[in-house]
Amino acid sequence: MAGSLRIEPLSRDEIDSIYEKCVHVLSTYGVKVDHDDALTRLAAAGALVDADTGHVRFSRELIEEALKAAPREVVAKGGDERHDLPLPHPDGSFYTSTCIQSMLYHDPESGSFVDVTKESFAEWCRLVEVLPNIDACAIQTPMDVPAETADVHALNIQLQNTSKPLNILAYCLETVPYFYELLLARAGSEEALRERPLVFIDPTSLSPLVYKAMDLETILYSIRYGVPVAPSSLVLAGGTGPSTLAGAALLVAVEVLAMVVMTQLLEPGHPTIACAYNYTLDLATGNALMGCPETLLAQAAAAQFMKEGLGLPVLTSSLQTDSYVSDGQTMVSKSLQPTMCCMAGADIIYGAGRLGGSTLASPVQLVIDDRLVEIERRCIAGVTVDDDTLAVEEILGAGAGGHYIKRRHTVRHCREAVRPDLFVAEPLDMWQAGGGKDLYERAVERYRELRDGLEPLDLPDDTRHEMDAIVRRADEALVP
Amino acid sequence: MAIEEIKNTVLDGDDERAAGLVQAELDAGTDPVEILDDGLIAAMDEAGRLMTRGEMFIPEILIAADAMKEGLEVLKPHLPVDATGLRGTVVIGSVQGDLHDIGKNLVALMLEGAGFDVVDLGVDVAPEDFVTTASERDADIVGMSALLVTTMPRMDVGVAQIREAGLKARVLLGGAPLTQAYADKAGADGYASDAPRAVALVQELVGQKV
Repeated sequence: MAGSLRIEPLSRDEIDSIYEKCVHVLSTYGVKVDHDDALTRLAAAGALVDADTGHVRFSRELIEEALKAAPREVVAKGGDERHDLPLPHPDGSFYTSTCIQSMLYHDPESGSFVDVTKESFAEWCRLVEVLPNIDACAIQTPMDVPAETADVHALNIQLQNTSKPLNILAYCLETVPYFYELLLARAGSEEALRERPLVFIDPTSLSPLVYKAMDLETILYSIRYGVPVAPSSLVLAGGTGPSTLAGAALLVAVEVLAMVVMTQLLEPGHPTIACAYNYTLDLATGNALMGCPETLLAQAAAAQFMKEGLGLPVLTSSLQTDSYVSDGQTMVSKSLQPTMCCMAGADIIYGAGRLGGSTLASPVQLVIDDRLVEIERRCIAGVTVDDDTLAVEEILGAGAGGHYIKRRHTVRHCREAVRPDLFVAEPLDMWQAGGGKDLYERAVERYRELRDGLEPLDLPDDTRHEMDAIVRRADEALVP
Repeated sequence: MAIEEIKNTVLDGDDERAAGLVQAELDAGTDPVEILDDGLIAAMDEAGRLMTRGEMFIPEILIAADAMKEGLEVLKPHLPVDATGLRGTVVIGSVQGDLHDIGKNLVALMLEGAGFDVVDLGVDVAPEDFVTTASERDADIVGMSALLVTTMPRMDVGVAQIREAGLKARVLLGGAPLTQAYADKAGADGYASDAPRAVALVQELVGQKV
């Protein structure tokens, strides 16, 4: 089938059942919201608010009104329109984002993990800028800046070093205003920011069913400046959510739907991307697993539900692994997850460059993931079947014992095959003559080649100075 | 044999039956300290060994701990004053500004299961509250948890205040963004990357006293 291949972890009846259970939870029990202003505004919009407890419930009618208002299509925009990401992907394919909140990078020279620094994160962003299959750049955590303002420093680095859309989140309530000051400074005006929001931002529930002041503050600021929100939930199956796949997928759906509804009640039509970030608590060890089959299946189910059941663009965290090195385990996880989650409905997958856990990343793995994604995109694009591709005339023309190597049809199609050049596609003797290097060794070489040519964005000096001044003000205000 | 049955019942997580068996054994005149050592404590030691071998899972450990506590409630009035069945006191909480608690809760539950008296201060705990509670409860350990990079510096403050107060408590740090290097820099006595390691570290620092 031409277009994109699809899998369906859920049947239509199961999608309907999950939706009904979402409505049941949100209308009978609701969620808890720790933000007085948002509670007042939600009550005015029709939500059932208990101001004393912070509990908010939503009637079926209100949920359906909100979902009707939510745009089915969203364009994630960065600093350069060449990198705009229309969601869903026009070809039925998917986009990628780098991993989020890394604190340690794997250093290919020493083979050890080292702190992310301002300099290494800037290099990471510049690398994203030149990698053709990495579409968005997520926030990381430089460790050589004050911890209280690490996210403000990080956003400033992102904005000055890549023009691709940024996937960001604030680390605490106090830094949210500085985020928007930085975005305004980079955009030049409120109008310019509204037209080209530069980022999509993740308010994240405190599973189960709690929304921090920071989450609602993020939504309110995003509405004010027209910045797309990508509400996410951090359900850890067996810990902060049910241990069953369906239960974990349902709780993610409930928590994300609640934020979608709140966003749409506060600003009907606001661009919203639903995130399916399930993880699994290993109940034998207590470790949170990012790359296990249960995480994959719960994400795929949640992605399909959000796409087909809610009709929203979907972001999943499907380039993850539980391995701490760029090994076979990492490649298995990073092959299975994106392929299955995108076939289930994900429009953006984040995690490029991620190694095991929630804080480790590798620039070399980022280079590998860039090429791996090319293969995955080709695979889910499927098989085009028409008169030209069936090539009946060619088969008859070549006849018995003929060949196709220089037929016009072959010439016309000979450049269509994907060529992820880090992957071996050459004869054995040529590979041996080139040093017999494996994928990781080839990726290290590619990384070094790319690294030497990286540059920051060419921004006006006054813009850069203004942004740096905002970071200094954040430090002065928030660092003891 | 009856004490062995108490041990196995605790391992099965059957809290009602464990309490009943402890009472029956007391009624039969068995030494309460023997019931504690060879029944309840032995069960949790065995649970720890089984978990290390991957043969017992965390939820099973936690319901076993509940059964142990039910049995202990029956046993306590009969124990000598110096044999409480507890291995030490741990004050634990998520640091100021941090509302995340799944990791902290898991550590608290597993420490209780391992026989510690756990005082859980919850989330968003100010450094001075750690100090006050640790002082009041004569704590052996103070455990501080953080998920956010922005709240990690509160750990440094907490460690410093505990030192300034001259408390005996050793301080352990944990949480996704933490590292051994950070814990060392903050002047903590230890760092654990997950709940089982936290329990092992507390046991090591406090010793196996009962």
